[in-house]
Amino acid sequence: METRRVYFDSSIWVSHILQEKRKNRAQTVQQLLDRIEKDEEVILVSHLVLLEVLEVIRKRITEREPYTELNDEKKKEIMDKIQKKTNVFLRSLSQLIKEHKVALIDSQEPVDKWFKRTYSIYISSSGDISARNYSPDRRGNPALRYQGVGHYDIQHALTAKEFSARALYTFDQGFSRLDNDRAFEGMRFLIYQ
Amino acid sequence: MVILQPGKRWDARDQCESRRPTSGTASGQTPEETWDTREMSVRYPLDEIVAEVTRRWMSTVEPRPWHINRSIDNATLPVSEFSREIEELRKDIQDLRASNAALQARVSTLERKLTREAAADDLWDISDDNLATLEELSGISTPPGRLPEEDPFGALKGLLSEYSDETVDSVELVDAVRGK
Repeated sequence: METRRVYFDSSIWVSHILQEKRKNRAQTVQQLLDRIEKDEEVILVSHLVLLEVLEVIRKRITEREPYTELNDEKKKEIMDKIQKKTNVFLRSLSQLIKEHKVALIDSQEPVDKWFKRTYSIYISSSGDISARNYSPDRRGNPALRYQGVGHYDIQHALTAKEFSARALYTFDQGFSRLDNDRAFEGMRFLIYQ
Repeated sequence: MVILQPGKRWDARDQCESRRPTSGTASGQTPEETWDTREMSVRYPLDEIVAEVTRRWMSTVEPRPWHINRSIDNATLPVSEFSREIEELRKDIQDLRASNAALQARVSTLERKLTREAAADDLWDISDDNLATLEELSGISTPPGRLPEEDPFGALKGLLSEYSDETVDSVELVDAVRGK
């Protein structure tokens, strides 16, 4: 019997490594992991997810560092912290890949076709414009905000679909805009709050 | 001023072919006179002369058995033929476009299916290759086995907990690296 596969969006991994308290997301992820392990399903991790998580690690560590005088020594100290956390992340992920609990994937399609498909889905999707009163522009005026599907979202979903994921798990509500797209027929978007 | 047109006699041959001279004229001349000479002003427009001659010619009975279709409407027939042919060709082009699009869609679907099935079948080959590349680029290596207490998921859990707080939002953090 073929192993069932699920795709975790970057937000799921970030929530797990930060033990996010908002809306009990960390607990949600833990329950999800337990269920997947019990059902012996494989978690798909794309290079895109890997890069996004690594970038969150870099930015988060840097931005949470107490603000003091910035010199070479301080920079090195921060870079070392980043490297240490990155190594733990990569080692753990490698272990999971070796144990075939996680598969590290990337699209096997030629780049031109890959972008053509991304563009075709992107162009057929329209977003929404809303007032963003809470976040004024630089002059203090209320600002409008465009919200629509991002090309990264499409590429995550395309990769998941290419590798026959039964579902894509995420906290990002933006994926709901792809839910009815025919390109993703047969794959579910499970979007948690 | 008098213009003399070439005279024409109503001869026996015309009689045989049932040709008849134009009956009557605006000036009240007899048919014989009409076919002999014609008197008109120099200001008489040329196109009117042509129109009148054409009218006369059209009003004469056709000589048989040669059939000449003299209808002015029929002069547009070749054009309508062209139009019809162009329309037919346009329709053919549309049909070809539709069938071409259908074939293209079918090819794309098959290509996607092939890629997907190949990717699905080769999952662990692809994953192992990617892991080898990742280890090579990052300089990390993992031993083949591990102790039972070394749970990789456990190691990832809370990896950045000292950089977390009540306000942290995973979606916002990911959006930030996606440039949203």
